[in-house]
Amino acid sequence: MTMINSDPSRMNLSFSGCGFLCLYHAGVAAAIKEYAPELMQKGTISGASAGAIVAAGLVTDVCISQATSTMLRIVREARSSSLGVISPNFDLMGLVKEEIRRYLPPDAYIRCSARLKISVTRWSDKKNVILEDFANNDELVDGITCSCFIPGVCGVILPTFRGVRYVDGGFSDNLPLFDDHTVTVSPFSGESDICPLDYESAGFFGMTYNNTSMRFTTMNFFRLIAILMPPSLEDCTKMCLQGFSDTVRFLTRNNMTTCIKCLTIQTNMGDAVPNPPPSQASMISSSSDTSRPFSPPTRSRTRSANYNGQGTRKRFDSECDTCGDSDHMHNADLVFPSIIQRTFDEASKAEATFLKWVFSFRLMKMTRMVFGIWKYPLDVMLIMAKRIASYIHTVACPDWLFKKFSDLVDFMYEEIDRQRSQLSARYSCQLAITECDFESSGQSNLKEHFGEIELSEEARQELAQLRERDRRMKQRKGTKITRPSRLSCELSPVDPNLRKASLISHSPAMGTSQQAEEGSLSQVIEYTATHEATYAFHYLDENNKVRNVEVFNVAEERPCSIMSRGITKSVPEENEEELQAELMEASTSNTSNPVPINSPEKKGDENDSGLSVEEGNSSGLKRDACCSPVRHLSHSSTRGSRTSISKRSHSIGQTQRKNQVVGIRDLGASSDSDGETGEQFFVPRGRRRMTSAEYEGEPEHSDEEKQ
Amino acid sequence: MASTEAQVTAPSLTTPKRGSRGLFGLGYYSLTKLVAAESSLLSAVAHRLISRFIPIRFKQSDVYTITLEPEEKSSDNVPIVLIHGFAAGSAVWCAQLEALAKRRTVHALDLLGFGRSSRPAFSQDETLAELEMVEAIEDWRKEMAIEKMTLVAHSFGGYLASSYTLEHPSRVKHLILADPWGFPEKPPPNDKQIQPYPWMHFVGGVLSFFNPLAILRVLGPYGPSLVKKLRPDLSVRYKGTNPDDIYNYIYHINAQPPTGETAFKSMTHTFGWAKRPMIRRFNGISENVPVTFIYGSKSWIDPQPAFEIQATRNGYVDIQIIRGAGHQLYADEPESFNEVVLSIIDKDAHENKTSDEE
Repeated sequence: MTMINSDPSRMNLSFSGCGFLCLYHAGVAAAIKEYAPELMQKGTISGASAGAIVAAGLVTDVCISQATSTMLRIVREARSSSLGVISPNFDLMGLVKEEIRRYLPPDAYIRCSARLKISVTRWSDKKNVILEDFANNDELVDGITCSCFIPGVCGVILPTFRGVRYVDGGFSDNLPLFDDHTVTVSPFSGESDICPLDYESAGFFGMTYNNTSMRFTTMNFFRLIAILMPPSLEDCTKMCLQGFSDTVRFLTRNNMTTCIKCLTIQTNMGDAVPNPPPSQASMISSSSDTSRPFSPPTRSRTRSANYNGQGTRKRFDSECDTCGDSDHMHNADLVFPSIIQRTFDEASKAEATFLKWVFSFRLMKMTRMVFGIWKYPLDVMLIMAKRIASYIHTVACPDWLFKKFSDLVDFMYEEIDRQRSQLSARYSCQLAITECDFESSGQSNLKEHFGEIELSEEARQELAQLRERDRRMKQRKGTKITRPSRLSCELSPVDPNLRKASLISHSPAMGTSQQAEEGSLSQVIEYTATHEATYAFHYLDENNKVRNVEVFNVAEERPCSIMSRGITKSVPEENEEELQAELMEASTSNTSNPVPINSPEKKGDENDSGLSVEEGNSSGLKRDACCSPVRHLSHSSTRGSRTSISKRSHSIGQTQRKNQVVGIRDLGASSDSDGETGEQFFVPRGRRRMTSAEYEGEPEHSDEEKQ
Repeated sequence: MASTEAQVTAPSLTTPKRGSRGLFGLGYYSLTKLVAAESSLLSAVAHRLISRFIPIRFKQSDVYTITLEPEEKSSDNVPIVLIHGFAAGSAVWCAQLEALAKRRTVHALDLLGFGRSSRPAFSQDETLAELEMVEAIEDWRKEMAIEKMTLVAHSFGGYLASSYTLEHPSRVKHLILADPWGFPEKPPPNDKQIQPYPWMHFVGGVLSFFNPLAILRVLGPYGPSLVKKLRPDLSVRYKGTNPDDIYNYIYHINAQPPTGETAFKSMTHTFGWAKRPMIRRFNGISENVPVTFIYGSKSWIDPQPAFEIQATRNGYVDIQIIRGAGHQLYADEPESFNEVVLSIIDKDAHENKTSDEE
């Protein structure tokens, strides 16, 4: 392969504007930081709109993992309101500003002035302007805010940069090009250096919007909607990982990195509810397993099919010269054991999620939407009031007005106090008496003295009321104290080694049948336990579960893969079943005949299951600091009990998967043209065409299928 | 407006129809405007250009061809034949013609059913339709009396050129495929991809019943401006005397009866995947035919099939990737593209010479 005009030393990056799709950029940034740090250390980085945020992050070298988690948090907040981003009580720009301020190092503006280029649109003449000089961090934040500001959606008052009003750079140049060697990054499938390849369409048609090329594919339409209406966090995560693997593909093709193998771990931590309602996610995944074609096991299937060196060539670029082997690259895109949380306890599901079930109807959703729209003017009024209040704060009003106003307020306060004091006057009087007695008698019991004081009937009643109130106050205080304490107890970190230990205690039982086989689950677990994640982020999903996604680099190790896994801490038994399924699958593909495994999960210890909640929370907290490598794969112990439903649906999923494994292998053989199955795909073996030297004349053979 | 201009006779050629006013703009096109746009795009080489219609057997059709004779004649004149991609015509090679025609004859043909060639109805069957198109190229070659040629084909043309080489390997000196379409198999869906909303699939399904460019024809006279809105990059890529030339050109070649498009549609299944992917059959090409793949680094065409072919084919396979170029790599990076093609041709000529000496 020859690369023409390529000069990696002069490459510079440009991130397109894309709203909430900037999660894709985050994945790209993570991969660049890991595998091609030279790209971010020198050379300019340009960006428009949300791309400018990521560009600034790369220039100032912020922790991408942390930033991704923050982005996901913002996405979650945006999703939580019924009208999404446009709902007035969601202040997107405020959030973004605040987060950027928090992340930027103090000397950010110095670094950015040299290398960051932000594309913005000047409001007055709608012309594109590139901001590249920042006097301080505030200006830098202003510049980024200007570049991200979509009028109407992000607010009404236009942001300014040095007194000039600017709006989103996407309106004039969505993908600023610095020079011929600019590497363009776009989350839209099209003509960009780093962009997704949408395999669902191979059509020719596309459009160009302010430099950003988009093909007409279903996925791109989905993405267009996702710019302002963020998709589910699950999809956001996928987007992020796609960015990562697309970048790896690009870097490998340009020989900027060698032989990357990655492993993604996806886990989710249970919430504090001991017996949580079956989540929506779990429902989706369980249904997907049986009917939908996009179930996570697909990945593990392909992976395991590739595993034992069948030489299956996948349609991913694999032009790494150092390897000389063409099937290493797809590893970045495949997934090995994927375990997703599932719940099969139908009864409890129906009970606990009745409301959720009701809301799952489209009618209810629409009603909710309509309600949201109806509420809109109220929200707007509320926000307007808030804005006016904040505006008044900033505006310096004349002193006399302020004085008048404060006098008025004081007067009102006094009036209210006076009204109130009429009620409490007698009460204070009585208190004085008790106090007097109390002091004289020291710590002796008050009750005796009370008898001595003459109290009117009215006073007695009042005393009783007071006592009652005191009691209640005390109670409330008590609960206030106990609640945090309970929480803290729940959240208290459990020694991770404990979890690991429980994990390892499992692995021998599991590993007996396939200890030697590479890529077995136990190996993956071991690997993740001993290595640092190159890229890790987490988010809270719809069910308040912390989900972690980690990407591991396994370049020097055995061929491994991106791995996605969801572990439900709250439903441990299902989880274990999943593990089992994966193992079965791995063994099936590796030895090409199913090896029945004794179910080791039956031996699981009962006593640990109660602890699992705490574990989940602790690891969730622990992974908050995702710059620090995450070493421990959370894992839960098992319970023997299983419902019949779970068994059934599980076996369905499994058999289906097995079938698909075989299908993939056939395909692989055909594309390789060295398997027996190659015959049916018109691919004659290369060696057979030795006689084609005769083809130097008019009598011509036509190829097989034309006959 | 359309009618008055349609009255003007095209100066250089005789065509059976000069255009169609269409019904309320539906199906409006004007060959006069097409000719004007084309000559504007090719203005740089206009004085040397020979344009003609070559009759072929298939339904008494004509294949439109433009030819550029070399300035300096050389003994070894294997002509270069340029085959355009889908929904395009021979004029898209405007940046290639002059550079490639330095020492060799260059022919650029309009595929049957596309461009200014006639528009016979093709078979509904994908195999037969492909064969009809391929045989049209073969008839054209016979009529042009070309013994051997270097095929340079882009996109959908690359698919047909591969199919042609499969049928007639002895006629191809070197097969150069620029971002060829129709090579890979449609991959099975995997869960790494995000699943779009179901209604999007529905809309996509409905759209897939129509010809890809039906919207353009429905819009009639507004078609060029739509293309201009959607693809402002095209006028940068194809520079004529007037920036709108390329839009007019694309509109007027695609507003004609879309028989080529229908054939293309019958060769594909949902969203542009080839029903008979070339990767299954490519190794059937005689290994004596050297093949070079040229890809654009930004293109959405995945070069992976080329690497698979390189790994499995016994014959010569080379892969070149032009950095910074998109799908229309010959227009994005014309200098690099021409250089690559010329170096391939020179290498071939050199090898010929050495083998003759032996």
